Amino acid sequence: MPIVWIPHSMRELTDGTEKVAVDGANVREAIRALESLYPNLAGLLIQNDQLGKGIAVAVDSRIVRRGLYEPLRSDSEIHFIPALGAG
Amino acid sequence: MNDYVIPEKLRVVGTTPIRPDGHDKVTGRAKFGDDFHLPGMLHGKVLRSPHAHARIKSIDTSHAEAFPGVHAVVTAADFPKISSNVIDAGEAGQIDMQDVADNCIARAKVFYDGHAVAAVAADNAHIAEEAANLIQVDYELLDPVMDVRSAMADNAPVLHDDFLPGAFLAPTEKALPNASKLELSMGDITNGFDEADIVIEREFTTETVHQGYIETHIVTAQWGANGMVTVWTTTQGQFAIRDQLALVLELPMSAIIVIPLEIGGGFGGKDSIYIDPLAVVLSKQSGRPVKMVMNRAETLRATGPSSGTYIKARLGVKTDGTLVAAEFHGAYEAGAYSGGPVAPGVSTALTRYNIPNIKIEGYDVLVNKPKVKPYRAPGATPSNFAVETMMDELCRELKLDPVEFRLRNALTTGDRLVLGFPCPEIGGVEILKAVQKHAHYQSDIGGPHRGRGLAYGFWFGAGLPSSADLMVNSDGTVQLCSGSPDMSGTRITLAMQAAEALGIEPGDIFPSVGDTASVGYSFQTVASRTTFATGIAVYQAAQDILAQMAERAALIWQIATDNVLIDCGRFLNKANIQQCFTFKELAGKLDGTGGPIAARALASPEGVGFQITAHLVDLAVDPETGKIDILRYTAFQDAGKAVHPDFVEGQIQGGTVQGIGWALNEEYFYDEAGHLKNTSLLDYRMPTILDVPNIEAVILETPNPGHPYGVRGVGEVPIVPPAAAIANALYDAAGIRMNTLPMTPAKILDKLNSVTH
Repeated sequence: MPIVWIPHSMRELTDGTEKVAVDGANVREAIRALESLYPNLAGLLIQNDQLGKGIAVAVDSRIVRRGLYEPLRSDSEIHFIPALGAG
Repeated sequence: MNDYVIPEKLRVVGTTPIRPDGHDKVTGRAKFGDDFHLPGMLHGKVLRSPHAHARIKSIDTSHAEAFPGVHAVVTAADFPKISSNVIDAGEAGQIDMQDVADNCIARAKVFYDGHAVAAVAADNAHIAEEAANLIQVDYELLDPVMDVRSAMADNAPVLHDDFLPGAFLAPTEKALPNASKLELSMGDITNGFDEADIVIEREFTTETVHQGYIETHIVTAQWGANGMVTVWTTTQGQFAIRDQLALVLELPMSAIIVIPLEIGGGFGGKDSIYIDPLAVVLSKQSGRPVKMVMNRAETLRATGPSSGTYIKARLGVKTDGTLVAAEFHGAYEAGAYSGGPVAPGVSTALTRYNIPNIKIEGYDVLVNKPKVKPYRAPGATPSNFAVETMMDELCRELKLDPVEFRLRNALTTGDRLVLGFPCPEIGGVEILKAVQKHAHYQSDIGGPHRGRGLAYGFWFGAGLPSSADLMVNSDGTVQLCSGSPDMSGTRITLAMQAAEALGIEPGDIFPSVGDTASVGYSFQTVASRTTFATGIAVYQAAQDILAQMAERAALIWQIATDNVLIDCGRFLNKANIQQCFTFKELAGKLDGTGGPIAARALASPEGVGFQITAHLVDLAVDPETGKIDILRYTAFQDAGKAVHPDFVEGQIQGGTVQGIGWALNEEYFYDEAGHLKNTSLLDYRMPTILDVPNIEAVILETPNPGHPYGVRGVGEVPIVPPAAAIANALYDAAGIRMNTLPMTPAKILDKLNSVTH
């Protein structure tokens, strides 16, 4: 199953758990699966039906453009990271 | 997404053809913002706040409106209140458009010295300026807050009553009056420091600095009779300007055409609107085109500098030189509205080392200064200054060679980043070994009061959307139009990639930059992304061109397209290789085989190659004046594949010079009331050719598999290590550790005297 890495600041909602294996064909489904385990997480990640303000998502070492709709493999790693910007 | 198979031999990429725009630029023929004129054009000027923090009680524009030669006067009341205020800027995060609008013209409060309050359009700029000064504004003065630590204090003046501080992915309430918080971590920081034999903790401050682009912000706007708005401007992103204007003015994006002119520098500071919406509304009200030019003082007071910072860091190391723990706390000025470079600043603070236990806290802090904007690797120079000077201190404590120490701890491919995921291909070890072998590193420093310093730097870079159009002319030449403004020779680096892919010469390709009505959407020329990301769009369009041309060859030979072999600009019949067209020959047959061929590609590449660099500097310090002279400077950088090595060298040298300015001279001086005191380039002291020696660029190439030719971005990381390298060299020369930027002669002399006495 894909593995979601829980950002540091959210671990108080997961009792300190760092990684969670969840079912999901894409990032959105993985977050929904996560929500069933930790009910308050999804609201921080998804706002107005898109990734929350200032959040980007990395799947398998790439910061992806399709965000919530990025497809996942069975061995995918998902990381929620701050949007970085640049000049 | 699959990696590309990078060809072992490249024919065009890696050579140094002459840029097509160069002659016009050096002979003054190129059209920059101030070269643009329209018949009947008016000139606009802005009235700016003389206060750093004040409530606007009333504005009386009647005297200005009555002034002879004045055609229009606008205030915030002439602009709509925005209904959809947050837009997604992809990897760059999200932007609050109401903040952008209020930054262009103050609505209820002014938040910094120079904040625009009203604007006038008149027959000429002198009349406009005189009339603007007749506008009477009644202010209620408020206490300003001018630095991050004051702004985070419990009793700090609050800038925005409705400010809702975010904490990155944390369910926190409002904990600080003017700051948002970001936390990152890996491992166990407590155990990490417990394992350490030596722990050091240091504090640092850096001042607000400006990008210092030579051309200021210049825009001409025309509100057409049909409601279409046309804007000619100097910008890093014509689509960004269009989209921001549309949102701020509540117009359809399709009703605005932004035509990018040549750009005289940007470095991150020219991707946002400032005077642009003022010019548009003045044009609407006057019925005439309006040109607005920001002078240098306005540019320094009221565009987007980079953050001043306060940093506190702690490092733990074992006696064998293995880093085991790092804690980094960085507070970055956001300026008047939230959204500074805290995320990239703190995320890159330690990323180049493989440290198992890390804790990072970043704060985005509102202060009464202009809203900060990106500046070449935004946020990374201050964090690198802090961490790399501490690394140097650890090397000396452990009596370890600075390169050996960094090699022992270098981040390598597959190591986990503090962002969590494994590091993609990175050539950090190769960079450090190149330093070791280089004649500079092996040379004697020689002479009294001389020292040598090393610093190691990192930057992420970005992908983001890019577009490119290719059209084949009947003589075999090719038109290339991209949506990426050319800041650094990217016309030729894109043309070279097209030539490589098509199998023709770069001189047969005419590259141009399109306006928003003539080319597909592209994100700004930022984040070291154009040669990388727009290059991929060009490559993809070229593959489409080749496929279409193969179809034409197949049609002529009456064979299946699969039987056409494409080989470096030639099209051959696989079954009869005597049948062959060169690219030019086949281009001449397009008209009779179905008509012209064109292709468009829109790419949003994700395989970004990280940037890694090391800078080595020798300097001399005058013990009587504190003045530093840089004697020798070598910058080692991984370009992935240098498409045009001369331009990579130019990027390395340019970024390094800006880093030297940040290190030694540049800073905003504010008085206690929040007035900017150095509003000219005489007083805001950037390096000149007399301040820097030749900067030797050593280009290494660890290919990025996310690009068809292995390209990494190169433009940003050169600004990251200079401050730390110079600080480390200063310690080597004089035995003093500087914990503040800029390291001016006065500060150095103070430190020397404090050590001496």
